[in-house]
Amino acid sequence: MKFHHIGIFTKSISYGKKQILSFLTVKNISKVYYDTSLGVKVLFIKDKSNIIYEIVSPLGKKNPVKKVIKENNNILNHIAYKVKNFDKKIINLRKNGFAPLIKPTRAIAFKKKRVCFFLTPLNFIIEIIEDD
Amino acid sequence: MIKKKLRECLIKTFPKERIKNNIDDLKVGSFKKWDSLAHLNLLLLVEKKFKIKFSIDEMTSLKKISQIINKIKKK
Repeated sequence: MKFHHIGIFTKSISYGKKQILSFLTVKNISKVYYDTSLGVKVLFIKDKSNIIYEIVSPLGKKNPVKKVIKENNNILNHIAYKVKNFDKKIINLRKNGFAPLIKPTRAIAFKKKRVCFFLTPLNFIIEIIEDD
Repeated sequence: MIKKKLRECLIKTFPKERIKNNIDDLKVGSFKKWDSLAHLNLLLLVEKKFKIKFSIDEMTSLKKISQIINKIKKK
């Protein structure tokens, strides 16, 4: 598993972007991706130390962000990793007590590669992204 | 027996709630703390307690205690 990004939930992309830019020196900013399957808008910001932050805001009525923002809980939402052998990794994570939050879904921001979110036994969320 | 063990899982997952004896109609949202993440913790505990594994489809679709009971019976 190769670290890819940290996902942060925010009420809007512009607000999240403004806040990140206020304290980090930024190298790159992506375009905004609209993903109706996942119910999110996302933007990636890479900082000077090559850490990528994924700013995630709600898209549509059914989205995973609204409740998190309302409860102000899990704002620093997930850590994402790119993985080879996506299917094998899912089986392995399940064996080790990781619980899937969603079914594997193709993500617009990752060229329609599959992603899946898991609650780890340590009670935080990871995302795995299918790697080429 | 299944319902008794399932009730024990509910008590362990939601220690501050008073879990009634008849758990059949309980589901995600029955208690304030029973959100999607708490529900996953419940399902993981159920897997451990009953020594079973749910598939991804099952993990993301089993939202009611009645559904969980039926699924355990089929395992």
